[in-house]
Amino acid sequence: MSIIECKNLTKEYLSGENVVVALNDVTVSFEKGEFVAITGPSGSGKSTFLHCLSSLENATSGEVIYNNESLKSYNDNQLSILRRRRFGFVFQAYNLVEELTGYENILLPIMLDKKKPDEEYLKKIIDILGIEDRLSHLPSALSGGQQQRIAIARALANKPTILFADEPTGNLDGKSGREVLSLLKYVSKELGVTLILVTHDLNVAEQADRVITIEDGAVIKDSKNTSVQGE
Amino acid sequence: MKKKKLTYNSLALGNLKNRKKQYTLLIIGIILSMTLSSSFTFFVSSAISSALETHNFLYGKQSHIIINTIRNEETEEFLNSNVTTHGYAHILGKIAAVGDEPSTGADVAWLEKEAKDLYFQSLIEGRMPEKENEIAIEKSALTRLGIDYKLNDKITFDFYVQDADQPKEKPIKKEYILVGILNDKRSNIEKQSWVTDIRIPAAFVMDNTEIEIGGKEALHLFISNSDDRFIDGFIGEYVELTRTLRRSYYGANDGLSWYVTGGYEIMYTVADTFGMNAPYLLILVFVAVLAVASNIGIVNAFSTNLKERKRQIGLLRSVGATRRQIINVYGKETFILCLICTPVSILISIGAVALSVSTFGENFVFKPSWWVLPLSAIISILIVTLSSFIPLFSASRITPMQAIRNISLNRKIRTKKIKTQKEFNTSKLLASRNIKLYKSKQVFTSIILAIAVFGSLFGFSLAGGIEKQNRSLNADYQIRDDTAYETKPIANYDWFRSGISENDVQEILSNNYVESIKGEKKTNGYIEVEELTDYLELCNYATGVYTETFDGIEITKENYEKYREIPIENTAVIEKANITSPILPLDFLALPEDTFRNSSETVLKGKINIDKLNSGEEVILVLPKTLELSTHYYIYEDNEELNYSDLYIDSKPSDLSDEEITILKTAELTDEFKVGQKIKLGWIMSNDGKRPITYAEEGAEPEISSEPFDHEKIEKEVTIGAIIYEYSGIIEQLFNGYCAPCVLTTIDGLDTFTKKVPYRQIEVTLKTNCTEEINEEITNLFDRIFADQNPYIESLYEIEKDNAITVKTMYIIITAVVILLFTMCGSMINNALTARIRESKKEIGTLRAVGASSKEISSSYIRQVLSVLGIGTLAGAGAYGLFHAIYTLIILSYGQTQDDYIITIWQTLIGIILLVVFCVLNIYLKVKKEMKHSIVENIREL
Repeated sequence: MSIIECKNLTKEYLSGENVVVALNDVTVSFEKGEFVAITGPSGSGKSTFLHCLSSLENATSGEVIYNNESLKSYNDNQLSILRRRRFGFVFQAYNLVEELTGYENILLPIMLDKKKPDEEYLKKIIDILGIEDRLSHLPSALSGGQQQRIAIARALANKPTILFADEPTGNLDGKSGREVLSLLKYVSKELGVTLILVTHDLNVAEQADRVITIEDGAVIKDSKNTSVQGE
Repeated sequence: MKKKKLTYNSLALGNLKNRKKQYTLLIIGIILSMTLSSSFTFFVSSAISSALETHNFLYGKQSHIIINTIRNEETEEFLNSNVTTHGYAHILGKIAAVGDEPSTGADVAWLEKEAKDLYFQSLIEGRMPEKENEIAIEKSALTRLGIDYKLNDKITFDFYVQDADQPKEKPIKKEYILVGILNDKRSNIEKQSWVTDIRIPAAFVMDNTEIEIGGKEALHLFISNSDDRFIDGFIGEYVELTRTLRRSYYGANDGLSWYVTGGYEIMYTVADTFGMNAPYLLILVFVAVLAVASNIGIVNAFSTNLKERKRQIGLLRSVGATRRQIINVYGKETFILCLICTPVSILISIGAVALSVSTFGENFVFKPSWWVLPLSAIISILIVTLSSFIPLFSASRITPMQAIRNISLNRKIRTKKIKTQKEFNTSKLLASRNIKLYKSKQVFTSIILAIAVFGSLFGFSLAGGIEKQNRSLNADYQIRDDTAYETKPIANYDWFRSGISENDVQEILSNNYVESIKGEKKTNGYIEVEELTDYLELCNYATGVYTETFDGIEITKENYEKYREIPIENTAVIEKANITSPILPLDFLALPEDTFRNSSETVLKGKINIDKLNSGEEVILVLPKTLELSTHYYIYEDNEELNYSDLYIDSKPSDLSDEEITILKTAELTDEFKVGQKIKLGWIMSNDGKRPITYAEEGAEPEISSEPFDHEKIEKEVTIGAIIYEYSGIIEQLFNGYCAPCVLTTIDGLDTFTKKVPYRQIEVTLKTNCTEEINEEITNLFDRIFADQNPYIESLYEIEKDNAITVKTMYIIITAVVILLFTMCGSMINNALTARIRESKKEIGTLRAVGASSKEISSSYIRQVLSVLGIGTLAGAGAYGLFHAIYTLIILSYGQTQDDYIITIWQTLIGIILLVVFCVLNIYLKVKKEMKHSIVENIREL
């Protein structure tokens, strides 16, 4: 059963007087609990695809369907609620709020939702990510890897159904990158979260259940990764 | 293609061209700041010019007028080498209304050209005389000569022909045609002087008019010296020279008097026009505060501007630009901005100052000196350049990487102690963190707002208080002739008892506009006593009986014991009046009935029965329970010759901690007088009529004859209706808080004893509201009635008129200043937060990505606005509260009330509400604008 799907998703924008087509009539569907890597060369439109799919950006045409409901009818407020409750985001540049400590950054979606934090669940994530001793620090006092772990914890804090990750290892060195990736994989499997990850690193893509390749805004390949499935 | 050379100027100009939008706000700020600093210079310059202009208009340009001088080669040579300008007035005599005292008239003269220029004559209407028998007279002099004269009237005067030093005693009749009415000079100079009969001309005839046959004209010298430092020394030398000359020519050394209007006078006029007038001072203070505040604003605006361009600075640094080069590029940019803004600011300030000056009344003119223009430009450029250099120096210190990666912010955050919150309201937490992390910027804004709130509360409350003072006078006019106070104990000399007579009162009452007159009378009298107890002896000091006993004697305890029983003053009078029993001389004070009705709080024994007071059956005695006689020794450290001691009598014990006070005697009231007791009162009224007052020298105390005089003794037995121990309310106000022993009764009551006592003060109430015409008529009436006196006249209409101008001016200035300050706060807050919003696009994007709605994001910024505004408002209001509390305590410690001072908050409240609405709306719209972009655009922006 698909948890999120997009139909005929097209994104165009103006570059000077020229119209650039970033996404061209993309139709894809994602299953619950699936780890999907979206890959392709720089400028192929993979990040744009992730942004449109996750409602961070509006598509020029086409629609995104989440849980059999089209997001077209959602207003800004409803989309905000959807993002805080159902989606989690991990960015290449971590995007932590500078003025909040690690723990406060993690709590952010829960607090925005005005809910009581599930201490046990949070402790579990924090333990898995190994950031217990960095929680009271401000982002400026953390390394890139530590910041990305906080960002992952924040993305998972509100028990989302889908985790969108845009080049999560792009700013990290090889070792930290590998650690972050295996954590993402582990946590999403452990919590049953769908992980949709954009990367141009084939080594990263190899670890996904399914790899979608985009080129010039169009899906040119969508294949199951059998070697991973067997692990 | 011709290549442009890359210089600092082209870089700076390029910056300006490329960032037009960002610079618009900055330019407005710079213009505001420059306008304020040049307005300050223009205002000060105009104030000085106005004061001098007013001085010239009121008194003339001359620094001195030397009366009755002599003129010959020696004096001319002396004057030519010592003063800048001099000229002579030829005094031909004195005119007075036919049959009137010559003292009520005006000296007639013609002025030489230089004297004319110095006297700065200005016509109200008509022209100066050109033919024989034509005359121009100063306005108030004309009123004294008789009202209702119009231009071209033929008027016959008593003309007292000048005979050298003085006019002749017998007048001739002379007819003049009134061709001009001049603005006052003589009466203005007289008001500023202690000289009672100034022989300065107030009536002018044709140039070169010959003196009447048999007369000898007098010469007055008008002088002015561009360098006032030498003038006093010069005067001394000149007087000596002319005295010597006069001796050799006329064999006399008298007749030469001199009158100084210079030096101190200019200072006094400046104070009169400007310094003593609170609003003008306030304006200066406010403009100065504003100029400072606006420069803080400039620092803030430049700082915001540079912060936004940190990356540019970083890039320039990374490609090898030195700190000096960075300062050069941005400094040049500032300089170019200053050059653009200077002429605009100067034009605006000229307009603003000229416009505001036009509301200050005719005494204030916009007439800045020529040097003010370049000075304003230099000051403005300097201030703005310096303001811009503060943030520029700090910006140039950062390293390239700090600039590019905004590391300084991270470092700053790292140094702050942050406590992790386990649960929080996102917008609230973000707001409080931002406030904590960017405190220094917000402190700036809060200080400006606090100044605005304090200034607004202070200014509007002060203006409200002054507005309330409009009603400070009980009636439409108050006339006081204090000479009545100067009468000597017991005896009431006719010739020294000018006051306001019953005839004067009746004449005023006969005017159609006058409804009623209330007055107070004061006279000297005595009470017969069985013996002079210690207490009664001290009462004698209160009425001044012994004052002259100690003239020339150092007042020590020993001398007091030695001389105290010799009351010189009354001896001759007592003998002449054949008073044999001991007496207690006292002041007798008659007050309007209302005064007694409104004095219920007065501490007394017995009962105030107004009917019995009116019938003369009863009187009230005022006797403080304790009297203390002390001597106060005044020490002048700079000049020992000035050290002197004086006697003081008071109902309250003196502060003994003061080493300069020696208590001579203290006495308690025992059973000297009782309520219901019958006492014998007496008055000695002179029947000598008016006699000329003699003075040992000009300005000295009048000589009082101790010769026995023709008198009438009035004695009457009355009952003591009440004894007042302590004043309060209205009666207290009459005595300025000092409870002096005296006899009190009503006007009717005093009239039953004697009708010869004049009023010392009257209050005139009109039937209708006073208008300009009525006021002029009534003032002319007073001028005529009191032509030979110099009473103190207050007009409620004029007080209100003056106050209305003052209050209007204050309100205009305060409102303008407060609006400017609030606007400045608003722009500072908005500048800072707009810059923050622009900087925080990524954060806004992140927050949106994790599910924050636009409401939550704008709420975080709005909370920051409210916090800055709240802190500023509370600080300003708190500071004002503290100031008010201290002020109240000081006022109360002096035993005064502050009825006229009302705290007015509504204007400030409106200002704050508008500021809040403006800032909140602006921030909301800015956030909304950012929210229109997609989250990805927000995140990618950085």
